[in-house]
Amino acid sequence: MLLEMDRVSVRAGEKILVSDLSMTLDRGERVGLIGESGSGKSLTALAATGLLPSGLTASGSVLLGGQQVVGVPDQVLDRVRGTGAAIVFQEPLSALDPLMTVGMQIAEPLARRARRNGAPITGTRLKEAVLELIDDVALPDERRIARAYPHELSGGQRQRVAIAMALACEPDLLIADEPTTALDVTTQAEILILIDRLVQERQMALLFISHDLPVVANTVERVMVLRLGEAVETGTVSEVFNRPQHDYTKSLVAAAKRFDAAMEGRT
Amino acid sequence: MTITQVGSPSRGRRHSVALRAGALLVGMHVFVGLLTLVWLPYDPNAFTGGRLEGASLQHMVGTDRLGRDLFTQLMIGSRIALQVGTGAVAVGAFIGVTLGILAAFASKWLDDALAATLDILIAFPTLLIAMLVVAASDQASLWSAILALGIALSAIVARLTRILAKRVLVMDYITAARTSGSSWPKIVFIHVLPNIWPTLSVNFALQFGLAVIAEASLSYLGLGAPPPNASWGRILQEAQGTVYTAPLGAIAPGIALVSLAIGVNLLADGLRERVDDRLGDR
Ligand SMILES: Nc1ncnc2c1ncn2[C@@H]1O[C@H](COP(=O)(O)OP(=O)(O)OP(=O)(O)O)[C@@H](O)[C@H]1O
Ligand SMILES: [Mg+2]
Repeated sequence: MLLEMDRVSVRAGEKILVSDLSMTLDRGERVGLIGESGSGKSLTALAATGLLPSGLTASGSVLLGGQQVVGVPDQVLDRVRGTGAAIVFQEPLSALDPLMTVGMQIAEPLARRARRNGAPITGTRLKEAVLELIDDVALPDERRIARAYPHELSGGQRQRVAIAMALACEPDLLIADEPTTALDVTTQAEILILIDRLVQERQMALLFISHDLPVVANTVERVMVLRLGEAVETGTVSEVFNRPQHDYTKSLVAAAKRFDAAMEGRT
Repeated sequence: MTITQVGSPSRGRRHSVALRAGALLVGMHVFVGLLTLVWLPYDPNAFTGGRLEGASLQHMVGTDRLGRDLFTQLMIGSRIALQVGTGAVAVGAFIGVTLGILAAFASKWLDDALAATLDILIAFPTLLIAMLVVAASDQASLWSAILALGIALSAIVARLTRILAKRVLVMDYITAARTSGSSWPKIVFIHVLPNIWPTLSVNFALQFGLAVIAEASLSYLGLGAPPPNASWGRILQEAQGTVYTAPLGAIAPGIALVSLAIGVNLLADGLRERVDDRLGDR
């Protein structure tokens, strides 16, 4: 089992933000995490990697690649991080360091990963590996992109760079936290296709977070529906879509169907 | 979009004026300060003219009450002001940035305690803190003045660093670096310091101006560098008794001090606008 979360809760002082959440993810598996804004999706992802912001505490048990994450000091986790899971964040603007070229930002995790694999790469070889990754996420003109600063790129391009940075870690699990929410519909579709392809090629597991049921449906096999920090429903995509059990899921599905109908009516 | 395009050229011109004027004034002092290391018009301690002479070809701003050349002393004053400004900012930056970064990482109560301490320290005038530090060291010297001013400035730097660092630390690229296994020290040097540096450097320029003025005040009070270091503050103080008979002795160091302070502030202003332009891109 790649990721095993067992009755994980996240608290801010007395306030419970995620409660008793259990979930497992096998190698190569794709799971969607759905819920409205503020339902605790991002916190779940951060808890899974042990990266909750200070002030928040997790309880329960999280095994990532066999390593306990909850209550383990950073020094221990630093050594195993990167190989276990990598995250692509929601907000393409704050996902990249504004003062560092894109090439440098991809080179950083790439060099670290190579070092930890026991085969450090530097200089031209590192540069080539960076360009290769940029090419992998279907960005044109690798050399120009590598020299560019984040503000010189479009939102979609930035998100591709963020994906390249995640890939540089060669993670077993890719966590995509609403990677397309800030993008327009066309770009959104392109990024989804890209993630789909990369996950397949590299045989990564995928935890795909979204508030949008249809977006997830084509990308993942299983979904978990989150509401106010609680998992209200889990199952395969078709189960949840066709026989939603919980009222909240029903309303989500109905909204998705209305949206689909509206889209068809328009074209 | 149109607004930025119309607005930015005039903005660009304005900041280049402040920057250039500042660089010119500061550059002048730097030039003079460096020159004193290799050449001086007179021996600053030799009695080379009559007492309290007015301006003449031999003595451009006259002589002091012992007949020493004032212009020579002013030139040395430039070097001392720059030394103290640079030294104090370096000391203040080192202590302040270190403390600020540590506070940004500290646990909640330690951070709160540090923040409160800094707020209290900042409420005291820089000069007062510097005076206390000088008083605590057994002998006033150039170095004790630098150390004292540096310590006095460090609280302001620490508070600013703490706030700026906290703002950077919540960014997703920090979490992304954490996920990929980057350690905290590495993140501080690669991401945090570069991102807070533009804003900090503007602040350092302002602190430099503060330090130069505070050093003159210390010297004026007799707590600065002792003779033979001809600090502007001491020249001013020595000229005080004879200000009606020989006003030049007081006016000249005043002008020197003000020109450097204004120069540094203009430079800071120009720098700030550059930083704003750059951060505006985000
Ligand atoms: N650092 C924090 N301190 C206190 N509460 C927090 C913190 N971060 C998030 N929360 C709260 O936890 C809840 C869940 O937040 P989370 O970011 O996981 O939502 P989300 O499902 O990702 O929403 P969105 O779709 O808007 O990204 C929210 O109510 C939020 O206000
Ligand atoms: Mg979120």
